[in-house]
Amino acid sequence: MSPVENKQLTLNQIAKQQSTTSDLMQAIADSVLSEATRLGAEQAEVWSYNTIGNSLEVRNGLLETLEFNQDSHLGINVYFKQRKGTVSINDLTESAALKGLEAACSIARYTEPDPYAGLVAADRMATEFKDLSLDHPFDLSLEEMLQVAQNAESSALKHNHIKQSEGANFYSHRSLSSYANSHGFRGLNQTTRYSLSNVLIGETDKGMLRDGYYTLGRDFSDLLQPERVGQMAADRIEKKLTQGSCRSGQFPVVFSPEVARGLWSHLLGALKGGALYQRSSFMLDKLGEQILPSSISIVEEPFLLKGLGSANYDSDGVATQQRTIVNGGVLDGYFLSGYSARRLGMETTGNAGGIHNITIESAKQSLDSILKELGTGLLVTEVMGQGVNIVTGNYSRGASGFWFENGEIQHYVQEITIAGNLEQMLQSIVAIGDDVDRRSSILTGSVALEKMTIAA
Amino acid sequence: MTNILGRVEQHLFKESDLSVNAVQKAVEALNHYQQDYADIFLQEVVMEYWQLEDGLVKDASFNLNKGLGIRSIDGEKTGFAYANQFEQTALDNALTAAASISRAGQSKTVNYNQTIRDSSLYLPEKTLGDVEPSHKIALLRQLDAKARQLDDKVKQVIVSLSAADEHMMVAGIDGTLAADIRPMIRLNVTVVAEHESRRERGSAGMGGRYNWNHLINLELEQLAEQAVKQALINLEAVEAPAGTMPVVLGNGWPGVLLHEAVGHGLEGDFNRKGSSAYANRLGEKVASELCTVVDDGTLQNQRGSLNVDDEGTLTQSNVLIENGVLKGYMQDKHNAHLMGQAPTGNGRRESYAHLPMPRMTNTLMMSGQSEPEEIIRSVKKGIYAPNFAGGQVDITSGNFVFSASEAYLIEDGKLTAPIKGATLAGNGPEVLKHVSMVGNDSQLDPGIGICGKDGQSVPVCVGQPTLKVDQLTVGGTQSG
Repeated sequence: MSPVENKQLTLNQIAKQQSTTSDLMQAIADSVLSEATRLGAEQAEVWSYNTIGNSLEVRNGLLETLEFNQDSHLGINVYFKQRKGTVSINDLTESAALKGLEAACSIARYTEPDPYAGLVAADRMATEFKDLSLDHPFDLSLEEMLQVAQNAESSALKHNHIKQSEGANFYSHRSLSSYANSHGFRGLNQTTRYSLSNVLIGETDKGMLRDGYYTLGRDFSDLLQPERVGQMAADRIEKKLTQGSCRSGQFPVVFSPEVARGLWSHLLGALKGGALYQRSSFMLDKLGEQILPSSISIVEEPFLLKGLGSANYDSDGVATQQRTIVNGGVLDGYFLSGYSARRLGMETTGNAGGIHNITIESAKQSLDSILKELGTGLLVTEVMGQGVNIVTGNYSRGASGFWFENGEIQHYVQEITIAGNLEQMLQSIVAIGDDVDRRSSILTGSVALEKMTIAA
Repeated sequence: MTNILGRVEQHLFKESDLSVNAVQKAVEALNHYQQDYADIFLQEVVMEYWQLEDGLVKDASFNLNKGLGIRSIDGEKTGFAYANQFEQTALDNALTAAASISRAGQSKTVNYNQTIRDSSLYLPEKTLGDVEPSHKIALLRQLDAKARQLDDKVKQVIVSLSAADEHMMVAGIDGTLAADIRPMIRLNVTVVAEHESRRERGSAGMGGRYNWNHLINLELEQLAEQAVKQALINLEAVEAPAGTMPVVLGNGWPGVLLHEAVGHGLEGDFNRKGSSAYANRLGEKVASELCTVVDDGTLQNQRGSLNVDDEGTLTQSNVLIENGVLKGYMQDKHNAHLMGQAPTGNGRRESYAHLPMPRMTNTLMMSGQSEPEEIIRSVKKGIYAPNFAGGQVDITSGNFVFSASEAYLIEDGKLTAPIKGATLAGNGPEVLKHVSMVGNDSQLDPGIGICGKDGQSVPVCVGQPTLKVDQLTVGGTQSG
């Protein structure tokens, strides 16, 4: 008998249902904005989103959890003579929105005037809305989604070295998000997102260990085959079964692409307007300086088709732009919103609400040849903890990975720490791998550093 | 406490066609399906936030989140659906979706038995009451002025006040019926200090399940003092050592150690699935005999405390480790049932839109015999860490880390230079065996903990006395 009585909609049917929601969002935005004007606000802005979908988890071949997700959110900012009031509610109805607006207006009576507050100038609003191919509703039933997760897990469990599965998870979601402001800007985004993951447990005489693999994308047909996901997860466990020790001291360190994108995100975080005007960044006053080896450039690409971070406009309504952040190692730009730009006496870069896709550009080589060049060191595949200080660049984290000697991987090592300073670490990058991981909005291969301090 | 259910009913359903009676009827409708357990959880959280930056209170916000979640459990299988409206149709739709994992069966009646705590652990009143915004702003300004006046190296000050009022009720097919009104307040000071070309951040916070009137009677200026002290000390910090060495942890917030090294590993779900490094080890010695660790959800006004958990079970004090021996796990209803154990009042969820899981409340180690000074004196070469930025654990391998935000070298039994923040790493089932001295000064953190698990955040407390771990890996940059 079927484990799931399929009463639930496919994402394609959800998409049809959501078309009335998007009309509702527009209507609410219009009525909130005109009511805000009536209440005396010089400026106002409204965000809303609605996500519908489902997620399921399979463990040992059986359905373990089936969740029907349905989340809504509405946010309002009003400005009265540079005083700001903010409200957010999880209710997409006009009556709730108007009540929220009243609350926002009453908050603005108490906040203090901020000379930098307010919308970005009307002529900076996005006017071009390219089709970025972000919306791919599909017609897979719950039954079929269950099969996808089961196939991933069963392909992993074929391997004898797997002690047990921690579960295979599949989710599919469709989101609507809208932004409107009193300049007359109206934007609506429709996006889908699919993900399949499998986490496994292996065992050695030293105890259990876990690892897994995942695939995700805007379009279901771009996901890796379920069998491949299970296989990759099982391979990752197998590599960890040969455990050994690690030397303490200063050694070359290679970050796998998954860990490397964390390294880049620390740099990107330090280049955000908020961190800069709060003087809480190790990248303060570095514009025009060499912050990376001259072989490396960093580019922001908001218009990548199907990109996980793609967008035509930011959360101020400002047009996003393709631009170079680091050019030949030299810092060329920050990530600024309208607000942080005013604070710094600069122009917005279209990064209110975040950074769009980032590509790390450099000459790339294979991981094998990188390890050969470095000889002996640590290939870090996981990091743990919060030991990154964005103010000073001080970096000290728990790590696990693989010890290599003479360019050859020797064994898995865990329960170690790696430490350095981000500013120096970034300067000491000696190579970037061609093994680019596309499952993120930061596209990078492995990153090799000349040396870090390892404690084991 | 008896009128709490009535008050919650009135508050949640004042503009809705629902009532406690309608919820009870829906539970009975759920009970038509063949399943082991099912419940309905309803919640509203109203949050208010005030922030001062650059000497101005220019950010203030109000947030309202409400909805209902329904789950149905059959064996190891769980169906879950939720809605953001308190309406009969939303309730009915969520019910059908959640129960879609189970087959319809015979009608069964439910006999309700309301869970009531005799005396509430916190005042069931609005956290900020009707306090004038000008008073809140005055408090933020006072702390800003205090921080700036302490040292002219202080260049940035951010002070924030947040308050959340939660109304919840839950009803289940086992007759569970419970409601709670939960206040939560939090005050925070962050500063950036600059000297020559160095910059450092320092921060301090406090809070708990109490209201404004309670807050303003506490010593609040010490938050500014602590934040400034931390930033100034870090301006002088030297490189941290790297390697394995004795570590003395301060009392209070360094209890993050327990939270990561043992707490998560003793949550029922991981042990049912056999994926925790502590699975099947009840009765074994997992720590030195100096260690007794409890998770206690019943402490007055504490951040991790709850009158009832999110499944309507009364919270209690659970002994996890007694004199070094593993005594028990933390359970929600689902995992307790599958493991043949009793729920322990640890079933918690971030919101109506999340499934409950076994979670910690206030986790602390009991005091021992040693004087804190004596513990530091006993170390020839090591570090003393009184403040942390947080931690993380892999419950399967037991490997965990926690990151010091304030630490000092110990040389010949004396605190010498402050050192830069360093990550400490260890293995859960091993590290507590190396606890060789436990202080007589156990205390809880000031009410700042947030615990994340499977994407769900809940407020928690940690606590411990000053203690010495004979060997931990210290992740500094100075090797050898």
